[in-house]
Amino acid sequence: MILQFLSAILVLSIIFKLVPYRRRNFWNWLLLLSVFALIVYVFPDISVLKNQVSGFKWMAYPSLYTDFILGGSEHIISAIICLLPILLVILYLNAMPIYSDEHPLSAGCIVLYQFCALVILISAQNFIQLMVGAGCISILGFYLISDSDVKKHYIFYSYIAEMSIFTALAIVYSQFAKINIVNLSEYGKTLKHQDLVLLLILCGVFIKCGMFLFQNYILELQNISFNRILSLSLLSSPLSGLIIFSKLSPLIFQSNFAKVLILTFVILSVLWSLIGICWRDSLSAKILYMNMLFFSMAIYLLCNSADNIYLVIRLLPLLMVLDICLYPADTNRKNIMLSSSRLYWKNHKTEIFMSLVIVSLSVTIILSVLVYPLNYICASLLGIAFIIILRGLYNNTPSDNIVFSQKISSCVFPVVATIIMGYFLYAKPILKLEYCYVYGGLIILLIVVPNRFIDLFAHNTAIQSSDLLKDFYNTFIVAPLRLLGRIMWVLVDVVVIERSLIGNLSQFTSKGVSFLRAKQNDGLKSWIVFLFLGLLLIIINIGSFLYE
Amino acid sequence: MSNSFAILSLIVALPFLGMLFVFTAKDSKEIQGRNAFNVCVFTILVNITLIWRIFMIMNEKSHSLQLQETFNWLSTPDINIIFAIDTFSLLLILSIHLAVLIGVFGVWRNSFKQKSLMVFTLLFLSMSTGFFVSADIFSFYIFFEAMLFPLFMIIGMFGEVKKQELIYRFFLYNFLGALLLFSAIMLIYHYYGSISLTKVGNLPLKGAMRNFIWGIIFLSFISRIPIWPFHYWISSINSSIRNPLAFIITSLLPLTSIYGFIRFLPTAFSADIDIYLVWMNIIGVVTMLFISLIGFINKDFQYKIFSYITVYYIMYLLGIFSNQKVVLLNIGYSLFSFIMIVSALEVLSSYIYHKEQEYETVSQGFLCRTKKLSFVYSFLVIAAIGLPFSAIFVNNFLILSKLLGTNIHIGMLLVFSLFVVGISLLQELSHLKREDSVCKISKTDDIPWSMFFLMLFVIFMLLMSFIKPLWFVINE
Amino acid sequence: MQNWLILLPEISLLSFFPISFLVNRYRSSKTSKTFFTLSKFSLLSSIFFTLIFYNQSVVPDLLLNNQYSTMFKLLLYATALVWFYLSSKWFLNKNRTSYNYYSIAMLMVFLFGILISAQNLKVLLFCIPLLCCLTYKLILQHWDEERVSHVARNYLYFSMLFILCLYLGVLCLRYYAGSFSAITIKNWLQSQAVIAPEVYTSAVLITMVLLFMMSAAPFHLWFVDTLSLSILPVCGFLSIIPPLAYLSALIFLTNGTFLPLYHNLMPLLHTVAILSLFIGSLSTNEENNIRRLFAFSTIYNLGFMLLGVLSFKSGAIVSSFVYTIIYVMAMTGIYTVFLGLKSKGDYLSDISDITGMSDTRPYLSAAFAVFIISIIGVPPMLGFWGRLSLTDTLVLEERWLDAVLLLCALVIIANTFIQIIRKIYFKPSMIHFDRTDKAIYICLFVNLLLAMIIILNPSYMLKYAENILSGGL
Repeated sequence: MILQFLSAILVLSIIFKLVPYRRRNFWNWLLLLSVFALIVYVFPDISVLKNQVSGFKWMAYPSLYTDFILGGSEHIISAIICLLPILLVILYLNAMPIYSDEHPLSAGCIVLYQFCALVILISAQNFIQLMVGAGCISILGFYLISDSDVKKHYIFYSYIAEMSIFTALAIVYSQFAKINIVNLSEYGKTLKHQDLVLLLILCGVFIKCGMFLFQNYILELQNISFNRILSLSLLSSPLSGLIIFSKLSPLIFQSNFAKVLILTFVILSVLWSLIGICWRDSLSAKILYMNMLFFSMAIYLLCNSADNIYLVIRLLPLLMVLDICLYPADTNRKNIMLSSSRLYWKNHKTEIFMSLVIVSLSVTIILSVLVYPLNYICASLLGIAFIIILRGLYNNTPSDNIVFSQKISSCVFPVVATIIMGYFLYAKPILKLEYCYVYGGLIILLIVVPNRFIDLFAHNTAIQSSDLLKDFYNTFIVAPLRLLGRIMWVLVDVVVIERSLIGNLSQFTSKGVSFLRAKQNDGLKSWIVFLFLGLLLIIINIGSFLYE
Repeated sequence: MSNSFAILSLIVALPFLGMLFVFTAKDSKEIQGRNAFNVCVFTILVNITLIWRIFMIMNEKSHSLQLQETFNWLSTPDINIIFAIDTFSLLLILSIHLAVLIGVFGVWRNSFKQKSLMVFTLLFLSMSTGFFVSADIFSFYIFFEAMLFPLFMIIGMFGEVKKQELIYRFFLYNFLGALLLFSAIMLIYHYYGSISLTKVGNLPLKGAMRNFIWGIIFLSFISRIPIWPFHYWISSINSSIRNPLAFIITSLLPLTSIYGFIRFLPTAFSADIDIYLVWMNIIGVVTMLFISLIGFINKDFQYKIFSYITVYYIMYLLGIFSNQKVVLLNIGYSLFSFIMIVSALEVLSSYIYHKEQEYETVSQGFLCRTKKLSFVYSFLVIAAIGLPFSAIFVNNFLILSKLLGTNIHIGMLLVFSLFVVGISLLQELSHLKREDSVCKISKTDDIPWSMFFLMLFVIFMLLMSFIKPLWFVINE
Repeated sequence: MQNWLILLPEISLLSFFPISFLVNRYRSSKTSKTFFTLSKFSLLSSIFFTLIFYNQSVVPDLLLNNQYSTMFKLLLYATALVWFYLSSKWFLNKNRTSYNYYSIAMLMVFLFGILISAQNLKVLLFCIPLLCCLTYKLILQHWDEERVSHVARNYLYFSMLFILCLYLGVLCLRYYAGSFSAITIKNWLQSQAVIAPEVYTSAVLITMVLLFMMSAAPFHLWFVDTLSLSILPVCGFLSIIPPLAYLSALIFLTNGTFLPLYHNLMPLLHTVAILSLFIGSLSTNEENNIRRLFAFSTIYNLGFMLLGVLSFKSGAIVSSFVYTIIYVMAMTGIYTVFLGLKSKGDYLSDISDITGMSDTRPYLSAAFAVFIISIIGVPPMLGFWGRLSLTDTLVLEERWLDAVLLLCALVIIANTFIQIIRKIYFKPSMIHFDRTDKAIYICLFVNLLLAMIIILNPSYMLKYAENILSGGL
């Protein structure tokens, strides 16, 4: 059924890609309804699905037989089901003219492809399927981005990530000639070059998740429309990075340095994201930093247990809700600078209240599903991040530069989300009194944090637009490479080969030719010279005969 | 398996006959080579059909040479010409035909000496097909050298190379390499007679003679691959050529070297020959590194494509030197996709270049206004850099894993080089996709539908070959 | 009577002279084709009678007819026939009388035929001086004798010197050996425990004369200067016709008469071969006169052939023979192309004149390129077979250095020919060519077709030649 579902989604997206540009609103809604109908048709009997595995022999290369598997376990099906709401919400946002997008239908189709790629990735039980899924997600992310500069950085970083993971898995394959992920823990123990494999996998994963040092390309997404930001944050590279991490964790933790390295990066990423949330002026950037915070914590969760990936996936809709709550609706601006575009809080009391409810419920869910003390850390951090952004969004005084007015449409989500989260907590009541400290802390934070603090560096272009890491890369990596290339080209090609070797050979031959030409073009004198040469040969020959 | 119909001779002879037909075809200012173009395309398509047929009648799982045809050529010296193929060589023949077909479509609007271009193209195709079906040392050599002349003519007449002396140096240098191979073959013949290619790797050579013969064989094949220090002429020529068909054909030359190494490599390496391989590995990796870096800094896309081609060819070469038979077929599958990608990319970049010249504008932002071109170009670049859209992805995985298993340091340097050339291609892609108001290109400058469908066909081939390499083989 | 019948091949050739004399003197309406027609009948009948009396000899001590000599003669007459036909086009175009040319040429062909059958040094004494004189007369066949008179004069002086050497050598040998017969001399030399220096010097002098006639370096300048100034029929004749005869004469001399002295003569021949190879190949570079360029290439080819035949074993002779045939076919083709290249009535001789030729004369250019590539020996042209045979001979005899030198010279000359092809194809057309005679295209087509047939199945052609050459020794 999974296979049929994915096939149907692919066919739908191909069909809708080809429809005419006119009446796109109609097509957007039709797409949404079609997908919804498909989901309703395929997923009602989850218990049947959970035991289904779609698989077939995919590639038959010499020395490599690869199976293509979809589904495979209860957890995988559950994870897929958790992603469906995100998919539907994104399609809904495309259909509604909430966040202005030039080609929402095209974006919707690409999101569907991405979803299929995610399913392939989640279901992967061998290296090839894993890399194919991850690669497809990267490629589709590239097509989803509408800004050319952002595209450029996105594909560069994604390419580095793919190559790192590709190389790591090639090293593993070279030693064991096996591609099964399921048995990775067995032969991972005798893996050579463990540290190298660790570095490569972590490089790929951290890039995909947008961790510290590698976050720039994710942050540049602030320049595109919000629905695309959502897709790229929730159904794209970061999630694929987490899935890869979980599947390859037996390889990662063969190295002694793994935990230290991961912890270091997680801490740095958390700190950096908090700093970014506080002092970046762009609303999209703040939201992206919040997502970065979430994914950093998710990495740490996966360190404890690879199966936590399913937990993380279940928390993703929560993150989506938080993101949507923060982003104003009905705006045609892609990048909102909060220092000059705040909402006046008195006009948006309902939204603020809804947001506080949402964040409380979110924090509660996190507190209840995670183990102590992780639950407190994660919930607090996420809550703090949300509150700071919320504080930045709403101001005491009206702003002159308001270009968006209300978020009525987006109230649908908070309401729906509130109902769902409320039902979840009602079904599994694990509330504790200690949670009130967290709620209280968040409310105090909302009241206490001044805009002055948030706007500290709002007008500092050096901080807002600087890209220290890009400068670092350009100075210490790219520039030396360029210099080395130039030296090799000039020194080796031009000086050594062209001017020395070839030049000398050519000159030598030319001299010989000129000499002969001169000697042969002198009329009778030339004849006599050559005659004497001939006579000399004869004399030498006769002389040698006599000598013998 | 022997062949009673002489189908292999037919696929060699057909382009040659097509060439004669084109040569004698009528041409005038009104026709401007259209007849020649049509005959050329028809010939190539017929040959592709025949190749497809050969795939169906041969056993693609067998590693031995099949459909053997033997012709008694000379009695003094005693030489028989033998033709035979296996899956690997047939794949290469098919890929060359497809590449040339793509290149021919890339020049269909060419009005400058179109007839001559088609003549030499068909001649090259005939010679290169003969090269890959050769199964004895003499026929191998004959076609190895024979393809130089049409190549030289194509580069010289249509390459638009500014430094003319580079062209004849290029020819001389390759000719010298061919003469070295000739020397080796005469020596082998002197000691062992006219032997088939399958036995060359098992020759019981000893001592100085063995070192000498294998040394000159190595040199002769290296002369066709842009390995340092023999890269200079090939790089100078390749980066100067603007005609897409000429570039594609020139880029197919290193393929002959790779194939030669596959056929001639000794099955059992002694310590004396190992030294050559060690040096080959070192020089290969060094070349990959600096060619990739030069491609990275060079703004000219021709050089970027050339550096991409070089790095991949050297990677395949290093894969061959790992001397694992299992890798060979993977190299064949990867080469099939690789050649098609390079050909298609070259045709498209040539199209962009000519539009640039026509409008005297910059190419930045070109793809922003041309949707069809943008789609196919992006796809091809992404497939080229090894992301999973073509057989290059899986086969590179297998080849790289073997190389990493053999020597981790060389493997990592190789990965780095692949990475740098990938970045070079992505640089160009992002340059073309970056919007620029100065660019005078509009929607009407998009590629024509015929070219778009051709590229879609290429994409289809790449995707299908990704899933199953020999998907088009329908066994009887 | 029977003896007269056996002499019919020679009589057929000689019959040309009185008939052509009478026609020239008494017939008012005669064209260049007239004399060609006469020579054609003469040659055809000679070919016919040679085939019939292929193993019949009147004076076997002097002139021996066997399969070996028959084969060479047939090839000589056939080549001469083709070249005479093509020469007639030149005379037609120039509207000049061809009587002198055909007379001299036919006489030379006759003398070459005799040289091929020679079994006695008296034949050499008779043929070579006559050939020198005829060559001198042939050089003077120019509408502007002043242009060629100095070359002809120089040639005459030098040839007289060499004729003197020939006479000295032969007479000295006669004095010591007591006979002019090749077999007698050979047996006498074999019987000598110690060879007198005078005897050896005589042998060297005789060999040297033959090398001069062949235009081997360092005695090549007469050939080069002649070809750069003479009319096209003379250039073609001297390039194409003599090599077969001289190859046969060289084999007769070195492998037949002077076999006991072979080990001493070999270094001389070896040096001459190497000199010819390198002087020929190097001198072609940067040469602007196209006929002079191909003259040097002839010297290069001669060096190539000499290097291969040096051991005078049957395999070496066969490979040299093959190479010579291929050379003759290629040069015939090249000179045919030259006959097609004219502008404003003048035949072109400068390389700059043929720049961009491919634009207006694609078929001529293609044929020219094919023949040039054949000379370099690039497969699948016929020249490759020649290169292959000769190199095989060198490898069999383990003459590694010679093989290396051969390939080096090949690269040098390849450079020149590639430059020519570059000029023809890669540059725009500079001049306007006159309309080319259809006969030129037909001849080129036949030549190329023949080359293609031979290269596809060479063993068929070579089967008989191999047996004959091996048996003839």
